[in-house]
Amino acid sequence: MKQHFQTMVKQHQNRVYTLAVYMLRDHAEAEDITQETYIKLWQRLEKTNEEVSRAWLLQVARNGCIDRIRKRRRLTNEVPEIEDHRGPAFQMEQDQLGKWLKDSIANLGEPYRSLIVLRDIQQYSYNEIAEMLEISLSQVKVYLFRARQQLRTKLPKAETA
Amino acid sequence: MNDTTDNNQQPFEDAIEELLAGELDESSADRLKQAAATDQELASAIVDAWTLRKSLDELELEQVSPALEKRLLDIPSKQKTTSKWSSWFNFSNWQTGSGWALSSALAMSLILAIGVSRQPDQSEILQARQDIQLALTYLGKSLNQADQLTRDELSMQVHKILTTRPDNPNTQTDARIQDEPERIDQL
Repeated sequence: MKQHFQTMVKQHQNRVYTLAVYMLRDHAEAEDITQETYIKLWQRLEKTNEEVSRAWLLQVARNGCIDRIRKRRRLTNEVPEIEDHRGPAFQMEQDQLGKWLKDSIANLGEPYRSLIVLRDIQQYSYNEIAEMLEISLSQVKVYLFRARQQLRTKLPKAETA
Repeated sequence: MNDTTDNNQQPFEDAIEELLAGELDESSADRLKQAAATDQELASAIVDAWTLRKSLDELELEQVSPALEKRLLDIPSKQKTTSKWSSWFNFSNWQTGSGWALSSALAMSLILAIGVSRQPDQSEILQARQDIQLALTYLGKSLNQADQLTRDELSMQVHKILTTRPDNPNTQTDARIQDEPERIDQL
């Protein structure tokens, strides 16, 4: 069981962490969420000894992120600013469009942000996303359309010329 | 949210996405390209979608730090350690025989510790006698409920504490406890 757990860590840790980083825009909190998610995975494995899908992992991570965002809003009553302490992928980017895109994704509402991260960055299938977010396949497509539409309307004009 | 409006736009959107992903069949792709040649809005939508797709493709997964990875891999051992300690303090376990035994032993230890720290006065001696009696009552219950091993251990410990510690200040205190009532009677 321990070996299975560690395989799950190796295989999916970056996906769980990436989702948390994009949702929370804070690497320290994203680390907390990643750890909490895997603790829940371990407790579930201990109790049921069943295979746990990667969809389950991302669902738990996303729920944890949403809880944290709600707490933040209760505390500050406003949308938080983008954190300065960003990870390597943020810091090493050379492309300004990439930076703009990350900020724009981070500023999307839910479930649009999760959909863009899961589909366009993590390359999950529509079916997997529907399972993770517990919505229908058609809802995935509609919401994804809206999310991309929101991003496209914000695209810098210089880039599209 | 108005899903009907979005659904009307979505085939158009889906076609663009499929085109960019190379999944649109040849005839549909040709039709879309021809339409884009005369429809400025459609052409702009395709360019925007292509720009967005290209940018999204360049985004990479965030990598967990080595420290976080170690913490994640250590979760099984850390969680086991925590559960072992927490089980000692799990109140539900105290309803069983071993819980009774433990509580009695703790009560006894507390009483003896009070006695070790200083010489008690008259009222404390009386209180201690009552407490010991109470503790022994609990101990009796414990002996009835605990398993054989626990019973043996408790008997040995109690026997050792109460009878075989000549250098223990409580031995003297115990002697005083025996003597005190006589003096009171004499008064």
